[in-house]
Amino acid sequence: MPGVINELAPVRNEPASMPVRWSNAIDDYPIAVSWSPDATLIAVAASGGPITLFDANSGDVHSVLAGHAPGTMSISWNADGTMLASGGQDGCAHIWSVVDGTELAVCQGGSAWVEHTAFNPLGGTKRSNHLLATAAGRTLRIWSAKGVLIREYPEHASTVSAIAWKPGRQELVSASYGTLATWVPSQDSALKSFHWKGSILSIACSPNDKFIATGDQDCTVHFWYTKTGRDLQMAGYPAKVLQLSWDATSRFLATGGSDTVVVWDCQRSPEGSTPLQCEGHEDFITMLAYQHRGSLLASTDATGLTALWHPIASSKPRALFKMPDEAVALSWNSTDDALVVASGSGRFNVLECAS
Amino acid sequence: MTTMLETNKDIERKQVPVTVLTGFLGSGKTTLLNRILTENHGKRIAVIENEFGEVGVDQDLVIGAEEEIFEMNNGCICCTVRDDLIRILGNLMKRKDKFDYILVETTGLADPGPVAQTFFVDHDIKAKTKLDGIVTLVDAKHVWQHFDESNEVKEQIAFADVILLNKIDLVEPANVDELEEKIRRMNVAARIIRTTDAVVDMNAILDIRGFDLDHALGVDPTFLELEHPFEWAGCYDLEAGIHELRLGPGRDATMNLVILRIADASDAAFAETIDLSALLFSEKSPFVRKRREALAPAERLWQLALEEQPSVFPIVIDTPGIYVIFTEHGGVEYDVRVHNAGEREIAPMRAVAYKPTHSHDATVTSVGIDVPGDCVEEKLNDWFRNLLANDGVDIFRMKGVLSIEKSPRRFVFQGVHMLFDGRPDRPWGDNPRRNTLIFIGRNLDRAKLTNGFHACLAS
Repeated sequence: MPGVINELAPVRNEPASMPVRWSNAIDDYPIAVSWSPDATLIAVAASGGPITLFDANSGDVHSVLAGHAPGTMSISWNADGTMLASGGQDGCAHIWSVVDGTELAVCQGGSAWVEHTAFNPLGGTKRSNHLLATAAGRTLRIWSAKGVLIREYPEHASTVSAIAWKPGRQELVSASYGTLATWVPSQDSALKSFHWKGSILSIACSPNDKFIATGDQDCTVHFWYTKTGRDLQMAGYPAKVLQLSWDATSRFLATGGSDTVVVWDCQRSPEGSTPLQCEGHEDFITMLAYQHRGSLLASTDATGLTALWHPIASSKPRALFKMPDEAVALSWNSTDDALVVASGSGRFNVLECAS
Repeated sequence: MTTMLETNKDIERKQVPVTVLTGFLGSGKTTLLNRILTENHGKRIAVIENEFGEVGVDQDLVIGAEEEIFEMNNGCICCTVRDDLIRILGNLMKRKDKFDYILVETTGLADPGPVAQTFFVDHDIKAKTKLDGIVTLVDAKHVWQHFDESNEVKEQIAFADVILLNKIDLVEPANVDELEEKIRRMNVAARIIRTTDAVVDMNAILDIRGFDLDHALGVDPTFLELEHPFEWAGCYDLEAGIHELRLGPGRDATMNLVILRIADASDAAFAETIDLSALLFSEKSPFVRKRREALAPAERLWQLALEEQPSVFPIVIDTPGIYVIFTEHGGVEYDVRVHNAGEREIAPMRAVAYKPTHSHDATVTSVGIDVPGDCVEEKLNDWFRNLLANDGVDIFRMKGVLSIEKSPRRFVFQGVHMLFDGRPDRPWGDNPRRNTLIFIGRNLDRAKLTNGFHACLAS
């Protein structure tokens, strides 16, 4: 009889706890954490300015970059991890040498905050591939890795709210109120522009270049077909949508904007489809990221919870990790077996995530 | 329940208060900003302003912002918000341990609506900041010329929790009185303070909790009593017979009036009749009378057509007694007189001039409603939904306390345009249950608002 009882007992798949490889802290709010492309360093940018590079294996401080006064707003690694770019409230972007912590270049663009910086992740040996895009106020610029201004595009009609390079391409996407536009370094005018009356806050380009997804202030997510400019609008989010992440296959887009991770399946069309809903967060999602190549999705929320999901397999989290205060930054390493999560207090943890 | 309230308070404590400073160019915003920053209040303040370089103290942060106003559509709510504020406040919140207070200075010509609405619609901003109040500076000397040529100055006054009548040293006291009276008519809910060089107690402008539901009835009900839909009343001892009401020409081609029997000319008798008269004045379809057409004491609103020369209307009195005539416009201005059948003028026993609330030039006004009784919740919901959908554009601020049928607790609300925020508050206890509401806005229809609300009351 005991055997029968065993068979009938429900299989309890309690989510595992994610093991902590190491943890450390800065004494400020981390506006960004980012794992270097070679997985050896983790950059942690403080809201007040300094950017600390930590050795990804030991957790020791590797070096401290001065950053921007009175605040750093964004950071971006170049493709081979030898350079880090940062943008800040001093109206400049800086390019730092990671090897010795020196400042390689200062890109000056006026008084507006440099809210967005993005190195093209294309990489390779061609020097012209290593381009840095910055957005400050209404102005989008492209710089060489040496800090030479390559192009200043005509002013956007309103502040540039997000930028992103298309994966594997020399093509940049910018968002501003009412407009999504794509740009190339070789010309002033936009390649394409898509219009919609609303405030676009975040961009995610699908790796296969079929879609550009945007998250919006009016609690919607849009899918733009890059070829035709056709636009699908997904409504019903309780808050603005800042968090978007594509999986490596371009089939799934994970979205935040609520306490549920909503994953759209784009195999056919997300239109009219019912998204996967990953439930287990206790408050609004603060960050979302799929693995670089795998199908695991990490998410964090305002209570400090980090959850690891395999959305296509289960709507329940497979592993959890809890911090005492709001989780504000998240980054996978390039080998997809660990992620770093940071809380608003400045503490951050490197978590094991074996697939 | 106690735990929930405590939790709410804990969350509230973490919200950084934000004060919005509005006022025309030259009204003294920069002077006030500098005063706030240099005052020894122990606060670390971040300032979001539209011009750089005018203010700044070492420990504070001054951020230049370009006002970017966008329309936002979210379901049935359509409103304008300041996108730049969402971005900048979002960034400041990442440094919140370093700031206790945020000041937002708007441009001189700004409509405060989008700034205020920003604090209602964005999830992050709502969670981490709270709009404390809107402080409007008025240049007591030059504002007169702006009243006529701009809507913005009226909007800034209408939205304000506190209005500083600044530069009073440059103006005659009687002039300031007149200005204050005019501003009071536009916004009955604001605190008005007279200042020179923007010298003001910080406690009067910071941490005032102007948008806090706990303070929704910072409204002084005595202000409401000042408001009447008529400007004049005259009390006459009339014998039975046909008398004559004579009116001179005036700015308007018509004059609304009410004639009622009254017990005597005492204050108590007057007070009773005033309420009835106010109700009659909210009638939508008055009884129209042309010259020589007869009037009579009745619970109805008369509308007299006036001519270029004095117009005469017979008043038919069946029972001798004391009667009161309430007139829409001033009795002196329109030369209102009563004559008996023998053409002899009857002097009023008593005449009262009321402050005009429906002033002819002001498009921005306040409408106060203060009525005992209970509302029917479904009717109230319908009324508010329709009101905000149809007239929300013209309602700048609203706040109040409502008595809802079968609920032991007061219901408090406040709002900006179509955005409504309300919840049950403390129990009524032994206090008399009544409803007190204030609407401040443009082209508000007093009668429609009053009648609409009265229709929500349980019969």
